[in-house]
Amino acid sequence: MPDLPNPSLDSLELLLAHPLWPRVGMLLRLLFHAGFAGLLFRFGRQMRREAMVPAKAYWPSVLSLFGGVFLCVLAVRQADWQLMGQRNERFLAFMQRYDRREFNPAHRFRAGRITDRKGRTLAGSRVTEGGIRRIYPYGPVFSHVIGYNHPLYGMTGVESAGRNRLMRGSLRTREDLAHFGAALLDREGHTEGPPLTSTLDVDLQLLAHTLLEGQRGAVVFLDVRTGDILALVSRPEFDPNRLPPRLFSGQAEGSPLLNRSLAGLYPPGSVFKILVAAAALNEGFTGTLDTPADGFTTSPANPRIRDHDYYIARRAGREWRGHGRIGLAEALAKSSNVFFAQLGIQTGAEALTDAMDAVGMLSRFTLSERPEATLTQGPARLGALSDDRPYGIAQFSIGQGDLLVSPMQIAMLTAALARGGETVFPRIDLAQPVRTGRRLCSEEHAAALRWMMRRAVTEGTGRGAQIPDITVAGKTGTAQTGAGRESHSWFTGFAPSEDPMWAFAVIVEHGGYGSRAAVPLVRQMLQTAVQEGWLVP
Amino acid sequence: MAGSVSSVKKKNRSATSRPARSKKTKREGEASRAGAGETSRPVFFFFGIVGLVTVAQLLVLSARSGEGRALMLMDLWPYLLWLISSGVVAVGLKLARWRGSGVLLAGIFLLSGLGVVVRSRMSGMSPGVRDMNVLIQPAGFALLFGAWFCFRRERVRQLRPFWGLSLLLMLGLAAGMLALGSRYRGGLYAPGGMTPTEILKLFAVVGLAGFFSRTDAGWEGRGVLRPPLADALLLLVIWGSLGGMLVLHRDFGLFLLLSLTALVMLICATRRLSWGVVALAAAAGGVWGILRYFAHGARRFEAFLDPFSDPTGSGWQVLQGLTGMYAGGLMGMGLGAGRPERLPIASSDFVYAVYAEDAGFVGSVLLLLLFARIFSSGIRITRRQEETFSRLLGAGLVASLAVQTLVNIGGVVNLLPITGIPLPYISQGGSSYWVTSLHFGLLLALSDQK
Repeated sequence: MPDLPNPSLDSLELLLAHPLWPRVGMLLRLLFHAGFAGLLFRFGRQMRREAMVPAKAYWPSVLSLFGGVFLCVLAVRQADWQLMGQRNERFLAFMQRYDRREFNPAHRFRAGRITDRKGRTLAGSRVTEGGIRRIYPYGPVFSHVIGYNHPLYGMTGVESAGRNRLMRGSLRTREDLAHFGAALLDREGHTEGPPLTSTLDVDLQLLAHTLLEGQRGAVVFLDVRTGDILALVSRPEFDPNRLPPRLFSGQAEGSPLLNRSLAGLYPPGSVFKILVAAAALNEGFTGTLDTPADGFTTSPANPRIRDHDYYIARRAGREWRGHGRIGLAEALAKSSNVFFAQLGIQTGAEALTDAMDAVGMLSRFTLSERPEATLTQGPARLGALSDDRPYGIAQFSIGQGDLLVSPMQIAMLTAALARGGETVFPRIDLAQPVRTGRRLCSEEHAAALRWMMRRAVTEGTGRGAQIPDITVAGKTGTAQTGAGRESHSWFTGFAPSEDPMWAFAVIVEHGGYGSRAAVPLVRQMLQTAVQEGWLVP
Repeated sequence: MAGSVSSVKKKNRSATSRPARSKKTKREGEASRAGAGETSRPVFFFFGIVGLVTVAQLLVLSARSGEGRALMLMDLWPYLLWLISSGVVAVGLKLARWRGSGVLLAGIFLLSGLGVVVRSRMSGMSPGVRDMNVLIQPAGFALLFGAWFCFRRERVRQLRPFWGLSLLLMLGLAAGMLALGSRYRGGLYAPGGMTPTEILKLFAVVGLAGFFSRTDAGWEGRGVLRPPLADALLLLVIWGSLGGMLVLHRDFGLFLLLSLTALVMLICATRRLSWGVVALAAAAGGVWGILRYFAHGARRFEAFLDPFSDPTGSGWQVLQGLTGMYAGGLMGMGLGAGRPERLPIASSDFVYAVYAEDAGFVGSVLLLLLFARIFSSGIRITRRQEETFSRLLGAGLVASLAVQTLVNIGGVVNLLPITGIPLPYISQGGSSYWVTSLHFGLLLALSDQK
């Protein structure tokens, strides 16, 4: 081992401790980069000079081409991490959680606020000792739709769907690019991202959340003109401010993480008859069908499809005579299974599937610009529908059998009718444009169906939804769920019925008849909202 | 090639349109002098380079004193020794009438100087790597000078007859290490952490250059479909046994490096790019084999594909490196001012991440450009060789260095799996430093033609 002298460098230390030194140091940093670049420039000149000597073999230059391309790829890859690392959300989360360099800009990076349509904060960032924390002032009320943003568990809901905006991760607009450039030069410039205004309404959401208290189910409330989601409730829920590990272990009761309004899959029951009616009108159906009391079936092997009234009468020990020969309006108001089973078979599998496709039930769509976000609506679950198996169509037409849909899809169906037959895709971000889809049916047919749904409320199964201040139209549903358990209770509709502004779909799991659980909920919700002035017809 | 084309263009332009007569004549005079291969001064950039490295060293010292640590002369020893040794080399070259490539020489000086500063910047991080290691760099320069001196002016041809011995030594060393050494990456940890397998790089290059340039070999113009059969079989046997032994060492990185170097030499010897197809097939097979049979390799491969799948385990190292780079940003924290303390193996495999944190993206691109200059100048030297052996030797040396650089940096920026190959002249390390010095020395000798 060489014995090198090792005195301390006091004079140098004095120089470095001089008050002027930090400025000199800044200068030296610049000098390093500039000097390095200058030297490389001179290298190039010298290189050209040396290149005057004629070369003999040309082969190795092919390899230099490869090397050059690879070097460029390296530099681009490095830039992707070093300059644009914040765009990779997992990388950003890793840095915020594990990096102890206090100068790392990732620590000052925080997502913007999420507000409701009136500017009330639904989610905000707070810088704490342990890093950046996301705060949700309303706690569990927006648990599914706003979601959570947690370093360990990732992101869901609008937190995930709007992340590019909230973090300025996208580089699409000129403003984003300008901010990105400024932040490259001034690394302290990274602060809070811009706020995202959602389409939600705190009052309606709170109201719907309270009304579902103690139940399992979902409420979807849409503005039919724009597709704005005014309320999106799913219960049971969780508190995004506190995420116990138990929640993610799959042992939590009632799967509180499941966003039932979008990802819940339920048999639609009678609410699906709206779609069958629309498809039948498209195919030119007019007139009446007979609805015998002992029901309808396609062959003796299959159980007979009967009306609810038959079961009610039988339970009461009475005899029921059937609805007789009735038209579409009366069948919808009375929710006659026998009628719709036959109507569906008449209409045909192709027209029925096409109607489902028209309201967007058969495809996946996302509520955000990020395809990987969790706020998406998947396709409905649908077994093979074919004219060769009429009984399958009959079951489909009364919303049973091999068919599962989400509350959002039913709300979209109703909204399409409410706005004259054209499908509108729901939106959660007020800044996004209104997106319309295919047409479900013509204006006249939509108007006819709206009138029928109004009739279902004035004199049919939805009578409980009538309130004095506003005219409601809708359709109840009672979806059988199998042995021994109460049916799911559905209600979907719109208001005001003459000039629809809002569409809704409500499901209460195992709530019994549609008129028993879902209808009173809607009634109370509309009544309160109109009285308080949250909804102005 | 691009350089020569552009220079020709420039010459034409100056001949037709440049009005300043005196300037033109001066330029052409310079060009003709260089064109005659007469001279390029060995101390061409010397003062610029020394200035830049001094600035870098000052920045490191300033950062250290900012952290409140006492400055000792010990901190300056690597820098001073670099200064002295490069001065000695420069003067020695001048005295021995050096006439080689100025760019290559300047590049080597600058690269080694930056390496010294970057390593000294980390000396506080891992105590115990000071003492003896300050001598690695001067010893490397001695080797570099020695290699140039022994093989300058076409004397490198004397190496050609030793190709068989070289290949034998390569296999023998690999076998010996397998028998005696530690079974992990060919390291003999007793004598100061030396890695004897490093020298395999040189043996392979010299051996293959001789093997391909034998007068009776006839590799030239033979694509992958019509190879000279006997030779190809021999090569396959040699390479297969080498690969087997290195894989038993679990030294995939070294084998990858040697194979890519051999591939480049093969392409240069045959002038047929079709051999690249073999490489693709072999790479696919190799990846499959590693994933299938080697848990260690498979883990690294998974960490490469998705470092976030196990961020605190297998992905930790590369993510920490990238985190540091992100923290450094565009302009960096200033040399020595980064905080790579939490980065495992920062001083060898991940030294590039440390540098990128300190010098920022701009500094990293400048370093990449420096490497590009060095390698393209090496390729130009290679192209200028009259003899097949020298040409192949040059191609092999450049390929070996370039592959090391690209694979190391590729691993750090998560473009490739981590292989454990050091970055030439920047990474901490003794044997690898010396072998790199020999590479550079041989290239300098090749550039110094009659």
